[in-house]
Amino acid sequence: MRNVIRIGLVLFALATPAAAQETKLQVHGYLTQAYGAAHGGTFLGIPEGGTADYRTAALQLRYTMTPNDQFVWQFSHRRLGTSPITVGEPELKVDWLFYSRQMGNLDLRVGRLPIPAGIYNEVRDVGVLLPLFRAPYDFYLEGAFTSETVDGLSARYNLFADAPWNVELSVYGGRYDMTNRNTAYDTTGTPVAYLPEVVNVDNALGTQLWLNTPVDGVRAGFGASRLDAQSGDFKGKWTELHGSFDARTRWATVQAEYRRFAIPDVNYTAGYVYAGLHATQKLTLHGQMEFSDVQLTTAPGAPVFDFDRTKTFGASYAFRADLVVKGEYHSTNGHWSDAPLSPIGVAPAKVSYFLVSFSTSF
Amino acid sequence: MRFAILSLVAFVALGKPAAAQQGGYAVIVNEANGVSTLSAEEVSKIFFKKTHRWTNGLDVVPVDLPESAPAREAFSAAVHGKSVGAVRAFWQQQIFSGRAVPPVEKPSDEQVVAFVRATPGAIGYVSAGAPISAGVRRVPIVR
Repeated sequence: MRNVIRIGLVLFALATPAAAQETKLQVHGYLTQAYGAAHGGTFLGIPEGGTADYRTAALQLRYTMTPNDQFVWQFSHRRLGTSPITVGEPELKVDWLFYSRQMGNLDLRVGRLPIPAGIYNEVRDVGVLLPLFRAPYDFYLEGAFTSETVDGLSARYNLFADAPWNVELSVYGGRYDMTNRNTAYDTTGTPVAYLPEVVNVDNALGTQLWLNTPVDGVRAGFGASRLDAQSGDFKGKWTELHGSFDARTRWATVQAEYRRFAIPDVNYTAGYVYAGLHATQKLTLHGQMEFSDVQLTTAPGAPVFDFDRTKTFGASYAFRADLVVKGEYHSTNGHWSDAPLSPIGVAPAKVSYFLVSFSTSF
Repeated sequence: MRFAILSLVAFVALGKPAAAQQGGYAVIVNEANGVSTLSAEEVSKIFFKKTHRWTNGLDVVPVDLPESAPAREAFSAAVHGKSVGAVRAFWQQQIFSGRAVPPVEKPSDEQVVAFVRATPGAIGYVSAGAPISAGVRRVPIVR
């Protein structure tokens, strides 16, 4: 990270001074505050007794040196109730810190930058942009297997930018840390504790391609990534593929994504379908179905296990584009609850929860 | 952290909702700009920052009126085919994915004219009846 910051500072210093446009610092931010309660167990930090200790927020500083040179610094804050994922997480952390240079249709970035992956990875905490409180969990996860940011470089290029069909291609590389879920077992093999662990990720390389169609708001995407993960004695190469469909019209939004991870000893596949009906300009009704499956690859022909099945219904009301209230109910049947992970193949846990939240931004 | 959250809430709560009035608009550029006409699609791409340079090599610098300005509402509907709120949602996506920020915003027609006059690559729009001073000219939008 230090070398990346040094490179960024050098590029920053070499940037030509502002000429035509006013040099200025812009400040933006967002906040989502929620109250949630669960039934049948604790899910992602939401206990049966309910919690209001559930929010995401960020403050973004953007220094525009010229119309083509920018420096972006974003701090973020996250609380997930009683979830072990946020244990030890600082109240405020540096979310992004990157220099960006635009050269025609090419955008280069260096520093700690958001990973372009799927519809929501870059904005997964921005409540005013998400249909529900969080991006679909089976696909995007939160902590395990994925990261929102990478310390490294990225490039984005718009091919055939003026054509009705055009392509937006992003590539990135670098390193990051991710928090993995781990389970502690007693001597009888019974899971007794849920332990978050930091996994170091090196040599991460990835790409995201979007095909924009002539129909405004309709696009299809494909992405892939590979990385070397290490945690303690564990070392392994992970690969990932995903595909996305995103259609946003005046009356309805339909989205579907599918992803497949191949990690040592395990294949993880996940996906979701989301439909949002914009009943009025401000009121949207939401429905979503998610799934994830796990297959152990230690033995040939191993069966595929249902890891999670979640159904979600909700409604949101946008007083303005920057002020949205949401209510949502999730019914889960799987292994993502905060109880110590049960061995794959054992009956999954049925946990339901609701969240009421308001989101704002400026 | 609580103070920061309260500040965020206060900041947004004090923001003014977009006006519902309609009004006409006129697109203006710096007099030194050689462009004679523009299509609505070209102007839309400029204001969404998808076009970065004029044909003469100058950087394109779009300038907006505030969201509450009737001319902005008319401009958004006619040029983008979207409401001011939908355009705002587009910029939220750009801002919070770290990609781009909206065009510079000036509070009045007079200040838009002054900005365009002072900036060779600038393009803006003002209320249809706003006075246009020397150094700035109107550009017809062809359909």
